[in-house]
Amino acid sequence: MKGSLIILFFFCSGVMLSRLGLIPAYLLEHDCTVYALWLLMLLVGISIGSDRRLGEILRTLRPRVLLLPLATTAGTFAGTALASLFLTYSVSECMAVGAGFAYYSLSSIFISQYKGAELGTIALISNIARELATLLLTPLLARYLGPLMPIACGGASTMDTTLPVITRYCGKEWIFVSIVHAMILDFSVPFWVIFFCTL
Amino acid sequence: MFIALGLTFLGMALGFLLRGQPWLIWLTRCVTPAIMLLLFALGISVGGNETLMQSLPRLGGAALALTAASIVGSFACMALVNRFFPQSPAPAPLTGKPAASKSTKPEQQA
Repeated sequence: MKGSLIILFFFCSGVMLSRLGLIPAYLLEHDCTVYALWLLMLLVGISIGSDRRLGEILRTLRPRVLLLPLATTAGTFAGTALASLFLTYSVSECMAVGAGFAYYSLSSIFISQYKGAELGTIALISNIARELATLLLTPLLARYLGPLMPIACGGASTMDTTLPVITRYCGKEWIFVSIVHAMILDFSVPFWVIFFCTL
Repeated sequence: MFIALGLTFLGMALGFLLRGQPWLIWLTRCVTPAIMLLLFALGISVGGNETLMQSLPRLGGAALALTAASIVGSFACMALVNRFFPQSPAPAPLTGKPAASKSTKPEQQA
């Protein structure tokens, strides 16, 4: 709980300062999230590499790990298809948005091209929200629902933005599982998005 | 994306080579502050994105409904495959601390 609240606090203060115009234009033009992410990934790598249980962690990679991206994909599609019943968008449009799996940059560009700016913006907001939800909820999810749930929630982002939070709160033994999960989803994003857009 | 992943593997190699150095433990404790920094930077870029901020009231509802639906759906399917994954094969390391220091200091709660 405390972890989630601290994360939420830092995110909200970033949004507020930015809205109030208190952030120098230089920082806004040069996306500093990338550098923060790179620093974080290097630190996570060092902490894994220096861990004496590295071999043990690597042994968590079994063929059954492939079930995780499958579950995330099936669940996302089932959820978005169900949600389309209550929205003004068609089933395939909703599933195209879901098929971004939090990989917002790529999916929103594809969807804007195929379906127009409105659905593209929805895809952008929806997938950023998924990444954010993962970042904010991981401490809670890992504690109350188990280490697989943050990975399911993170979708394709579990090998970059949300990887540090996941290794921090689920445990280091989930790092390679998390990377494999995201890699498979990542490569499937363009395929699924284009598939649902052309339906 | 590939740079980020490449940096992780570079870090792993570095951490492996420098294993046992005392300042390395200090360095791995910087993960949590770095997460805060990332979230702060993310907040800045979301707040500074005019297109996103302006269309949020109009399209945000549908977008968030889809997000919630995808997350809940994923949870449901993940719960189905959950039993194939024995939880915590090792004692759950809730902290960003390497195991090396475990014997000397009491486990810190997250």
